[in-house]
Amino acid sequence: MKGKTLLLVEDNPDHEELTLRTLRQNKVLNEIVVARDGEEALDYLFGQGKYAGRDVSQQPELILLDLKLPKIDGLEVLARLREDARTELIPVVILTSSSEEEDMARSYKLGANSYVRKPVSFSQFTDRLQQVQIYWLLVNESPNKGG
Amino acid sequence: MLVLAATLPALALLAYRAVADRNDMLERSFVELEVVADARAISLGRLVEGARQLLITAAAVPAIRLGPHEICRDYLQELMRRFPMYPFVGVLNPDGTLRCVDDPDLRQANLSERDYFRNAIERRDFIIGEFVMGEIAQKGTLHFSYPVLVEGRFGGVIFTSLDLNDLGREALGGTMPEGTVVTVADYEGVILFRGQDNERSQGRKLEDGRLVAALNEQGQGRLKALGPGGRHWLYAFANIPGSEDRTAYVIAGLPEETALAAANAMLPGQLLALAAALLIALVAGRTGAGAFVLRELRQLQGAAKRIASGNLNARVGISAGPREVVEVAEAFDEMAQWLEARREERDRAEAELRRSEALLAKAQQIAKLGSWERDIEIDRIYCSDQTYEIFDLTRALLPEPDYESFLALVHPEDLSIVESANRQLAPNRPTLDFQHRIQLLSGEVRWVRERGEVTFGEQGRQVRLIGTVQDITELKQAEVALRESEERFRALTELSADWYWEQDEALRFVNAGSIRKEPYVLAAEGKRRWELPENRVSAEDWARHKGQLAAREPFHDFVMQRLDRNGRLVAYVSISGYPIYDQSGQFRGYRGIGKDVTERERAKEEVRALNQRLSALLAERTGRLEESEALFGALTDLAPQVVWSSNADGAITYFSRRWYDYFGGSSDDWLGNGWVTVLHPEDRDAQLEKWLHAAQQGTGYETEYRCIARDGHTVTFYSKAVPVRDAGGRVVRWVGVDTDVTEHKRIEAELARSNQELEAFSYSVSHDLRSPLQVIDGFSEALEQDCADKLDATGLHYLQRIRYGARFMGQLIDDLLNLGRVSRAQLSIEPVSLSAICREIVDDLRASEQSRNVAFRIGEGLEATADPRLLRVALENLLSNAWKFSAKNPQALIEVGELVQNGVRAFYVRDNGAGFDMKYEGKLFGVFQRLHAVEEFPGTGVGLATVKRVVERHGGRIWVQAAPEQGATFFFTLHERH
Repeated sequence: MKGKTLLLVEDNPDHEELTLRTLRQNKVLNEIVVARDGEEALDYLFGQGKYAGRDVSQQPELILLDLKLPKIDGLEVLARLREDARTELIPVVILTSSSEEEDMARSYKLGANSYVRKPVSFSQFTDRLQQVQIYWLLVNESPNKGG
Repeated sequence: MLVLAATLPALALLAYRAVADRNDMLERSFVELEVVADARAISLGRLVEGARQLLITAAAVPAIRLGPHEICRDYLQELMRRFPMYPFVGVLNPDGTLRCVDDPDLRQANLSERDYFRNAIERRDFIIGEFVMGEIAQKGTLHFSYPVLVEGRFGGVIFTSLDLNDLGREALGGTMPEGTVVTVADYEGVILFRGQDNERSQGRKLEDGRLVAALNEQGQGRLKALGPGGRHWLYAFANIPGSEDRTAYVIAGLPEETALAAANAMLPGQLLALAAALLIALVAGRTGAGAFVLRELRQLQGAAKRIASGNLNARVGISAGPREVVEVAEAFDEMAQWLEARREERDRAEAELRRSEALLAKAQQIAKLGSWERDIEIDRIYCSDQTYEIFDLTRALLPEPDYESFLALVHPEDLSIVESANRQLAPNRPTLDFQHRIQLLSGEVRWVRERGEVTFGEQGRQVRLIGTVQDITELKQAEVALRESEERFRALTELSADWYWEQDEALRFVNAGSIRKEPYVLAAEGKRRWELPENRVSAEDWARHKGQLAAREPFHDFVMQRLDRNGRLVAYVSISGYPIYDQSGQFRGYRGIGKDVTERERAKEEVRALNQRLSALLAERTGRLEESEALFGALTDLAPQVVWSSNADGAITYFSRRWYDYFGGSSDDWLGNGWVTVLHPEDRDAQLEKWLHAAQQGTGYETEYRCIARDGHTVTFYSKAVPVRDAGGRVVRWVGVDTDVTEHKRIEAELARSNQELEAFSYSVSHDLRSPLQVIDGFSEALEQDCADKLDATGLHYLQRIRYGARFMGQLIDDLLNLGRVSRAQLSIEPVSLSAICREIVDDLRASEQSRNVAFRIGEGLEATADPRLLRVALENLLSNAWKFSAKNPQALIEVGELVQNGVRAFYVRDNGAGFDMKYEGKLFGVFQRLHAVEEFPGTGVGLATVKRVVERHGGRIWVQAAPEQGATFFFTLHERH
């Protein structure tokens, strides 16, 4: 698990802080990289723009992706990274306030691995995030995990 | 003596001439009387005809037949005013009382016994009735009557009278010989008018019965008979035309002595002249008047001698001498001249006679008619040549035939006929007419007809019989042949007919001896066909039939209804007949056949009835069809849609008016496949193909297509058509409706757009409204966890309140979004098990609050077709409500089931919780409506609104029954309406 990063794509700083706090509380040891919009997320993943020169062979172990993002929205980001061989297998968990079923359906269609709704109740959110974390970071065996 | 010798031949000639003159005069008088009688009869005939026309015309006037009293009366009075020659015109009821009169006396009169009344009823024809010394008109009148028919039945008699004095004036008109007396008499011989002694004669009978008999037998002729004053009169008579029989007659009479008076008057004068001459001669001779006289006398004598010898040219030629002698000579010469003229006349007459005798002989020969005269007293028979011829005798063979020799030639079997004919001769029956056979010497048998008239002498002794004999052998043979052929015919007709009938000349049935009887007729003999109560025929048909009979026309297939005694229709009969005439061409009646045609007529009636029904039905149908077509036309024209129809092949046959509103033009432009040109170019080929395909397949047709209207706008039609099939299931035409959905489409597009916007809004709500709440709650929790040591109990409580508020708002947002989703979501209807859904929800509820002990009773097999997600939303809300509101009942019971109410299946969810007052029922399903405090039962107030929306989207209803503390039952139906 060392050296593996976790990419959080979240534009709202409040949410970012609350999410990071939860992740920390849940003893996540991964380096957490935060992208504040879709473009930044893609730059990071593909080693371009702000992240030009990054070693893209080192990809995050898990991406927590908000849907509503400035510049390039979450679904677009999802679509792009599923198109690219370098990123297509990275587990993506959609973290969103949207309870729209269509969003959920489209996310899965585009290759999201999980869809987690952010409830208003923060403690519920904490619970769910913890489950996601346990599942995707500890339980799940992904192809590039060992690499 | 000399004188006497001279005058005697003159006397003889005078006597001869007197007799000849007498016969001449009689003949001339008869001829003159005949002329008078004929002329007067014709003239009176016009009067009668006038009366006949008047009555027939009046009888046909509805006012007479049916009219009210006043109209009828006024009409009659007008008639009398206009035709003063008819002193009275009246109408009799069938009982013989007068109608249409005001006079009370007249109203009481009953004329049913009158001849003219009875005859008119009996004969149904114009009647010249009896003479009446008027009770009504108060003068001598002759009555005429005519039956009044109402609907073909006897309805009375109209009659009028003619003043006999008017009749007389007419009878006396014109010139006639001196001394002629004209008499008008009826068929019984009653004198209606007489030119002489009228008052005394009127109403009395003619003096001589022979005249009456001759009137009725001959109708027209001459007769010498007894007349007024007991003298012999010469009569000529003629019947007055106008009535078939029982007419009246005009008789012109002249006393025989008057007729002869002229002839007689001449004789005495001439004799006187002769006697005077003789006297003078005698006187002269006896007194010896002298030689000079003697010379003249000798001259006179010589002339007389010459005349006596036949030289009628002889004249005395004395013009000078003693006055007496000259006068005698002049008288003599005058006489001689007259005699000469007479003789020439006689010679001419004789030549004429000879010629006519030769003519008569020739005629007799041709007619095979011989004449004979039998002198009974001396038993000699004088025969004409033709008579000899008939008996195949010659004068040489039988120069002096007598009665015995005649009888010898009579066929032995017919002797009795001859003898009885002769025996029956009597003064009142002086003529004979009979037929018998004779057997000639050669053995040949001939038929002869003998006619003769006997002259009686004193004490009724038969003196002489003058007559004719006619060879009628050929006629007889023809008669036999005719009879045989008639027999054959009759046999044939009897075979083809059901019965055979005969009527006499008055159209009364005679016993025809038919081998079969006419069905249902009891006693026809002596009656006329229309007098039989068994026969029923319409008035028009009777009239037509009678017209044919009157015209003596043959008739064929005259159909009558045959009634039984109770007037019930039992049969139809058809009769055919033809008139029969005797040898003399005299009409003798009708003869014919009858057939029972009941079956034929019934069949005809059935067909007729059927036809009537059919045509009535057809008319009704046509009427209905027209009505429905008109209705259809009006409806289709009024309809906002285009209504159209096509034939089975898809060629359009009709567009309603709306089509023309869109596209203008006329039907020629669009019918058939012309409509395709208005299609939007992009849709054209596909639509035409689609339509023709549907028409070919006979399936339904439903599509949307775009058209370019005449104003250039694009119009979208929703088009739906159904095939109309005949009884055999074959498509006969299509009927379609095209609805303009252009506006609808526009609204639909707008709605879609606005839905999209709403979608976006909801999205942002779900995202952006919730986001800050998460932040609030998140940091509240962080505060609570990380800074708990810095907060006291109050501070912690406030944090709780903040977090609760945030979460409640989150719930509200969720519920509202849910409600919106329920409203917008596309329904996907499929079979759903309510029972299964409810059990899942119940499991969730129990899991969410395990401390509670709630009994559930979920009906088994609750099935519906619905959108499963929406139905789940609804049931979740209902069940969680029930769960929630029964929280305070330790024996909470929640039931889900179904029941049928008013034929509609309803599901229900029942709890025994808090319930509510039904007066708030109306608020229950509104958004944010709550009946309980949040502290009591938490909730956003959106749930039931969502349930209601789900139910309504399924075409159902929701309602509730509840009472405070007695729980609530929510009922809902699905698919009640769409």
